[in-house]
Amino acid sequence: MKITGLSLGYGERLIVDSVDLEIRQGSLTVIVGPNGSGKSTLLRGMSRLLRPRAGTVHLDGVDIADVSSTDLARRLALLPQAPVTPQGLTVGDLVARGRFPHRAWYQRWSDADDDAVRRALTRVDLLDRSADQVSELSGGQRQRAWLAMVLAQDTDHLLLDEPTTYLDLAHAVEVMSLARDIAHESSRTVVGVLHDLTLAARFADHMVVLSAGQIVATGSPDEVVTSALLAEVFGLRAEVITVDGAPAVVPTRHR
Amino acid sequence: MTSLVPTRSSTLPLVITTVVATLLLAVGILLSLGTGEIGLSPVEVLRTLAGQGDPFTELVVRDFRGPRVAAAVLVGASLACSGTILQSVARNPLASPDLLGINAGASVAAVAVVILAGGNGGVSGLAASVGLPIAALLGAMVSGLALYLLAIRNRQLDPIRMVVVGVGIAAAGTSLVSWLLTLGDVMVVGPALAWLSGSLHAVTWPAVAGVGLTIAVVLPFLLAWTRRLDVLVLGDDAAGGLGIDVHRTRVLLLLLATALAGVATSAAGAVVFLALCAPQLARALSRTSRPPLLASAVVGAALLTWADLAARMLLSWVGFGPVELPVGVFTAVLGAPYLLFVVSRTRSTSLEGRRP
Repeated sequence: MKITGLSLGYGERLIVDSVDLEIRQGSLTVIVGPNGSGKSTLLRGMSRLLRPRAGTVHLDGVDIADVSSTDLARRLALLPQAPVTPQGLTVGDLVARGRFPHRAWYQRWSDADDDAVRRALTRVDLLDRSADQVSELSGGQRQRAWLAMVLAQDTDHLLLDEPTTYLDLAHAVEVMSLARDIAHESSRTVVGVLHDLTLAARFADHMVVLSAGQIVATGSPDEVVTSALLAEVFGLRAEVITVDGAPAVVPTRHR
Repeated sequence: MTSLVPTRSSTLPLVITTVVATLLLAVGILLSLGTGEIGLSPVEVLRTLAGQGDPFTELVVRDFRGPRVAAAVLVGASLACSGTILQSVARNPLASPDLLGINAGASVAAVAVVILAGGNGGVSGLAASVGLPIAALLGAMVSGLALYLLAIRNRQLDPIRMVVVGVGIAAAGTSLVSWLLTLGDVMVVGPALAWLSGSLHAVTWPAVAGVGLTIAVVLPFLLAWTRRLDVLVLGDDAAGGLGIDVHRTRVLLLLLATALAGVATSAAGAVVFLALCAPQLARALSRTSRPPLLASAVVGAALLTWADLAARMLLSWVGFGPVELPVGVFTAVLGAPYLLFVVSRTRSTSLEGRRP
């Protein structure tokens, strides 16, 4: 995925200012940044939910501005932030809706659809819960069900907007390690937006730091998460320690 | 490997709901065609419908009661479809053409025609047979347009805003109607009030044909779009990510819902609450995640057919003589408690469902 000179905004306000970014296949890239830095807006631009003011996004050499919505949905899936599940929806039904871009309105449910849904449910370990209501699941399971929905979409690119919001740490870790494994095992391009730096550093292969709509740092978690950067970008006094080979952020007690 | 389809939510309740509602509708139609000053047995009605009746029963069934019963079926179905669409578009069980002000627009226009064109002696001739339905349809379209323009934010049709704006339009429309009624003289206000309370009493075949035609055009289109509705209720971003142009889809659906409600209202007057209740009743019975389109239409048709029969006969059954209630009064009496029930059951934080 290649982003060139991408500018995005709402109304008068420019939120993402001519961003250039190349995202590697088969890895998990996590975008971090302070509140209001434009992380989620960038993700919306990458998925064409928001039309760019300027610039382009290419997937495997194809400009996303040139493809139909359905074609794009077969190449790129988006897990929205804090998705709302309608009452009465079963897990199987939710995941089956991921097949929407693969079926024209006159086409019946096919073996390929069934297969994709089964694979997605197996991947998130919810196959035996497919007849249950989504509303009966725990928060972590519900997020996994939504993840299965976008996995059933069977795309080479996957965008996750704050996938751990409202989840406790154990479930957040579960979702993030799932996201990383999915990227590694199927050579998908997975991009997530997170606000928890330590969690991001734990699971990301690459990190992108956004500040005021511009990229201020990219690289491996080691390279990116430093005391100097935390002070500069987040205005945070913190120590960075290394645990298990990945940086962890520990804020100092005195401001 | 077995198919996952059976482990997805079962479609059995949906099938049962549709079949039972269809049977109730058929029975309702037979009874309604046979009931009145001249009583006919269901067998006589069936024989007449098959073209084997005598000229007299034919007159009663085809000319006297036919338009009325057909109107109940078609108006019920189109209001229910309209409610189904709006509830899915707004992701809110309270959305319906009456609460969103679409019917209020129709009422303002219709009452304006009655009051301003009526003079003394009430509406007659062209103003009544053509002017009133067309005015009602235009009124519905105008408030649909106002709803669309006012509910736009960031070039998107915002569902929450849609409900809030709709309630405002409905309130404004209702007060305009009250004001218009104070302008008219007593002779004219009567028919206007009758129209406002929703009545199938004076329905004619051309009006019925208008409603039928609208349904015949819109329903197949909607049925082809059911998967789109399934995806739309997952939220704007999820639907967008699945390849739907959310804004265009919503605008088109709003237009169709307005047309259905407008045509139905122009034929039968302001029949309230039906568009709200029928889809939710169908949804509760068939246990689906959004109101099912076809089942809602059949439930709506059955509800209005039975409500009209009851409104027509209730007072004479309890010994008041041959006095009719407007069917709108009847649906209001049934619908108001339902509305309170929904409001009391809805979580105050979100009308859309639960967050993860």
